[in-house]
Amino acid sequence: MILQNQLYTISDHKTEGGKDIFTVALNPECFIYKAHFPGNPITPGVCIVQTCAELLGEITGKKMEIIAAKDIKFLNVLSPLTTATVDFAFSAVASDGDNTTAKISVTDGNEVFATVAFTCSAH
Amino acid sequence: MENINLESIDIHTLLPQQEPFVMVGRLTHYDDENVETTTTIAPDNIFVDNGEFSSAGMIENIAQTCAARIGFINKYILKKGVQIGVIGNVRKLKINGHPKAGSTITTHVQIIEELMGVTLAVATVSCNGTLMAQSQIKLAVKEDEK
Repeated sequence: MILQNQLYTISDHKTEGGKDIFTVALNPECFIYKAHFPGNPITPGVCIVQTCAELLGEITGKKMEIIAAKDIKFLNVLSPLTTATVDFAFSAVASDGDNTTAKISVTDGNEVFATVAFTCSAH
Repeated sequence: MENINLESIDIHTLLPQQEPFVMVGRLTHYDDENVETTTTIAPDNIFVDNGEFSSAGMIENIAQTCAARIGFINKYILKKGVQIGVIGNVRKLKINGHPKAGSTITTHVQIIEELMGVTLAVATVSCNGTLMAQSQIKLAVKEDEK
């Protein structure tokens, strides 16, 4: 399942100081939110991580699959009802053969929802 | 708690998640420090891509194994309602392989520490005796009941 255009759409992509920042709009009507949880849509943590992998794929031009994660922190609940758009700010993107490591901060400028430090491989 | 046949429990009664976001099959073992679940990966599972269960699917399977444990404790031991759990962190995640759709995975979670609604555990996901994924996970339970 690709989350792009189901759970979220990319509404902006900019590069600041060599770092990619994607602004994504969350879709509160997505079937995932109806299941997680009914009447209380909360973005599943794994969907935040999967979104990071998909957006990393936008940067590398290859479909990315998570193969390792040093540290993934979920700091605040990300609900599409209270946060319509959120930024995925990439830093320290480094590729080594088939593997790419990256750090991502998921934030609306006010709150940090998650920080992700992971490694993906071209799938 | 005596004589409960774990495998006969409908996992949906232990979790706040609904289909198609239920990522765990049945409880197969519970004790104070360990829980085990088995899950058969349906071909139409939302985390199956190109016939394989994705890394994200395995992470969610680990989280929901923890949630099923809490759900079991709440329902059968504390006799209270289903609570919503959120992942606090995932650390030292390693993916060794991806189970094929149609296969059954066994997820083992060992509780390291549990205090004030926060559980720290280590987890492994295996398929036919082969390790597919491992990680450390921290889960937090929200206080209000469903």
